[in-house]
Amino acid sequence: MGPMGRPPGGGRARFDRAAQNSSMGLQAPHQEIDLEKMDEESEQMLILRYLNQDNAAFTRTEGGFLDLKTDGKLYQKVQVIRMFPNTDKNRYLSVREGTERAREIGVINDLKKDFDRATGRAIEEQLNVRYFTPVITKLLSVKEESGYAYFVVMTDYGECRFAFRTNNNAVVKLSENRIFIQDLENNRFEIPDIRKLSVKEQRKLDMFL
Amino acid sequence: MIQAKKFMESSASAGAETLPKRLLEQLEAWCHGPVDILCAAVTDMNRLGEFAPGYLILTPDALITAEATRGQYYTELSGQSFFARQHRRESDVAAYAFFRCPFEDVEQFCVSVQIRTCTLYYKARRGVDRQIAVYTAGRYQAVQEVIKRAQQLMGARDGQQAGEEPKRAGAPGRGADMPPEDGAHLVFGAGAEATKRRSVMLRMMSYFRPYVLLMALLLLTYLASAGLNLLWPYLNGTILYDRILAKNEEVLSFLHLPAGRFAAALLLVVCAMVLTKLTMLGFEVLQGAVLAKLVPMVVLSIKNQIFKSMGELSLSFFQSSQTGSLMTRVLSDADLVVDFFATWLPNILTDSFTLVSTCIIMFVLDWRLALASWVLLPLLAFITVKLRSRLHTLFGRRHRSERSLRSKLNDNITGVRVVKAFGQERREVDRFQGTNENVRDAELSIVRYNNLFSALYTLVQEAVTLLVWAVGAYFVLVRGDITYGLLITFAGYVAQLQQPLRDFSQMFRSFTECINASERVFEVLDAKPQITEAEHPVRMRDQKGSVSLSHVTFGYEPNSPVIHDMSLTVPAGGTLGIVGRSGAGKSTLVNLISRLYEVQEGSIQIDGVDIREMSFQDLRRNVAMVSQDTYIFMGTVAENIAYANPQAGKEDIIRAAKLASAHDFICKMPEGYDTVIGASGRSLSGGERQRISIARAILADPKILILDEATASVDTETEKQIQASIQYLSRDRTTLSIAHRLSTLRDADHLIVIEQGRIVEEGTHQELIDKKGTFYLLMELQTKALAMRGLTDEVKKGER
Repeated sequence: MGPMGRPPGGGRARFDRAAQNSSMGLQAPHQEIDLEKMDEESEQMLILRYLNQDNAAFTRTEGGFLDLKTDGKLYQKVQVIRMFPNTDKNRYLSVREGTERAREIGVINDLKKDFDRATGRAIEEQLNVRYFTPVITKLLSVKEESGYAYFVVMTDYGECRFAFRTNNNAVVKLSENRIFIQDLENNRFEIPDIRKLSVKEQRKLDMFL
Repeated sequence: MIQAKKFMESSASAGAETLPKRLLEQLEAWCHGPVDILCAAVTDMNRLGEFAPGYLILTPDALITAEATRGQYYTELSGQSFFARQHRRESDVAAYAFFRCPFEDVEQFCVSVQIRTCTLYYKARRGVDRQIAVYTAGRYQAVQEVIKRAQQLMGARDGQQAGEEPKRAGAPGRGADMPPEDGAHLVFGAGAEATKRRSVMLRMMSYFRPYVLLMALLLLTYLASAGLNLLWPYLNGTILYDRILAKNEEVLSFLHLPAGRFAAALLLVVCAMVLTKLTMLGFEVLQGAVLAKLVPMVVLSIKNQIFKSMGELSLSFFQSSQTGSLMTRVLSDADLVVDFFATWLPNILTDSFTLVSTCIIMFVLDWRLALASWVLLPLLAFITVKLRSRLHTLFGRRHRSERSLRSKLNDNITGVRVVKAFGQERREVDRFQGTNENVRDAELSIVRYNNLFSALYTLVQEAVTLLVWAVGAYFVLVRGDITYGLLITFAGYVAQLQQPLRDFSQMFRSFTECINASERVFEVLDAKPQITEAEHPVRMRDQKGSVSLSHVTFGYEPNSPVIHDMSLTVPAGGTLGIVGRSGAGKSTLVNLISRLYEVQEGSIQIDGVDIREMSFQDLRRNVAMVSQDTYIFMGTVAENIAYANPQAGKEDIIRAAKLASAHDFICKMPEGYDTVIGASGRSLSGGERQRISIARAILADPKILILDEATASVDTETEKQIQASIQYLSRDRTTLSIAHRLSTLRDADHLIVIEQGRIVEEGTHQELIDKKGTFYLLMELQTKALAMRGLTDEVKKGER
């Protein structure tokens, strides 16, 4: 459908210039809008490529980033993304380019199985930062005032305080006993099993479920 | 005569309505002999366009029409199910006028469809064409079937094939393939569905059957407290005053107490009184507990059933108006119904018990006082009837105004974007205020009337009490023929009468409300899905996916077809592009193939099997649709993709998303495939929704893929990606693709152009362009329009 949208000839040159200023232009300043390339890219996007110890080598850089060497190419500062952050933490990880477009380089099926421990730990570190979700171990105090809830909690990262609006789906029930709380600043807290809280704590929490 | 009799019997045994006896007699007289009736249809107008019952009667060699000319009759245009429940006033037609059109005169039967009515006429071989019947849209289907059979008969008669195309009247559909039914049958309009005449109340009660023991317990507690209530005035009046305070020795011997120990007797009586009150309290607690247990359970089961039968209903039910209101209404109706059965019904029973027994006791105690207390009852009844009915209408008004207020609010919140965009906040406030004032007015008038009612009611009741006291005091003081304790007792009973009377005054409203609510509930429960699975569906394990339509006619309204007599074939694995202007019937066509609607005439076959014979499971598994209105359910992205195939693993889901070019944007969401979308979840753009629905279709892995404007709401780059996905998807699959952008159909094996429900052009892309017909025109137009749009974009960019 591409060519229908633009007149041929002079129009294209102008379009290219416009494109250079847009975000697309950032990654490849002299790239032409090439339909064949677009086709090819589209084809590429359909392919699911698995990464494992044999075809991919992750290295932790001094600067704290991850580099990936695969298929004879070096990708710097790759991003690792969980496809199922809530239901499958260490499986189905999408490894993406560090650029703004973040094209997918490949997929790690199972971090524990497909890579050695050191690599696994390096990737996990990245993941833990990206998906920082303190686990609430104790509810110290819960107050509600004019539509806002104020929590003082103990987490596995230490004590903290946060607030959320009570009528905004801030508390999400993932399963019968597992809940997520998202505060006003979009921080995430997890309670993996509310039954592990004391009865008193559960009663405090009940108001928001 | 014999045949006619047989006809009557057979249709009677089939449970259908029969031709009236008088009609048959007159028909036979008119024909000078017995008539062999094959089938018949009811019409409802005469040729002058007035309401009049009439019949189309098919005999082996002619079509006979009968029109009522004299007599009293009435016409049901719709709502047959409602009227069937009412007492039915039978039409009494005194005389019919007959008209016979022998087949040898008829070249073809035709139906001309006007806006509201249809006219049946025939094209004559010789002489003039003639109108023979007029009827409303509701009768269309029935008449059509009779004509179809007539046409078959004529075809057989002429030694030709049955399908001598009548103009839209009798394309050989399923009926033609089936052996002729033995005996005749009378065809009625679709609206005359059989209704269950079982009483609504009894049926509702069946929901309580599992809880019979609880109900019995409930009734028992009600009756027990009513009984104790009866005892109370006696204890508190006669026993206390006349026996103990009056120092009556009998009571001591009755209680086996030594003489003179009245203090002990008093203590005993007080204890008894306290005990009575405590027991009553206990019963009340028990009632509360039982109700709390019973009501939610019954409400739950009713609501569950409503939801279940809603799911079974066909698409057209949900597209009919006011479905949304129906949903909420039905759900709150369940509460209303259960409330009546669980609180009002036991109340009515105990109230009547109290009322009757109190009256009897009063009468036995002293008939003169009893009469005195009853003398004003008619006045009470009068007030109730007069004012209550007025109050009911007021309640109705409040309900309606509140409802419109709510919908106003809802409308405004959902449409807030439009309101703000056009800066209409001020006007919306004004509009809201108007509705709000209606609510206030309704509320005010209710309060006014309610106050009046309560005041009058209390006044009369007080008057009754005073009268009883006055008369009683006269008897006690002057005549001395009743005791003071008896008077106290009597006053107690008078007070006892008040609650049942109050209840009764409200009972009628609750009763009608309950009946109405039950009827609405059953309306949904009884609504029959128009599309049902065949009784013995054909199971098809390995489908290849060829699709063929033969002479398909369909319309959303019975008399205005959207698809006319359409035939086409798509071989397995082929790609068919469907082109046409908006409203040409493209989406309707594909909806018919996935059997969301049922064809009216003709048939649709997949791999040579009529889809009506196919099991729903096979059909739905093998036909997947990606349409312009994608629906996202509440749930995670992964759940939405796996909707058609819940067993799919995570890997399958990722692969499908990848193929649908959805993987990237999903990964960009913080929670990836675990992101909750749909109502109350994260909102997706049109293109994102579209890609999720494509992924859904990929995972469903159908043999037949229907793309209804699958790339309508995405930009060019995304469309490119989706096109790639679709191309992958349509490999080895039969694909039917509707597109406005004609260039997307370049790869289709075959293209059809639809205009007003008919195929006007077909061929390959190149053939159609060479033909320089409609397709070429559309193509030209679009190229120009797009070029224009492209130019204006350039200009805008230049300006920036």
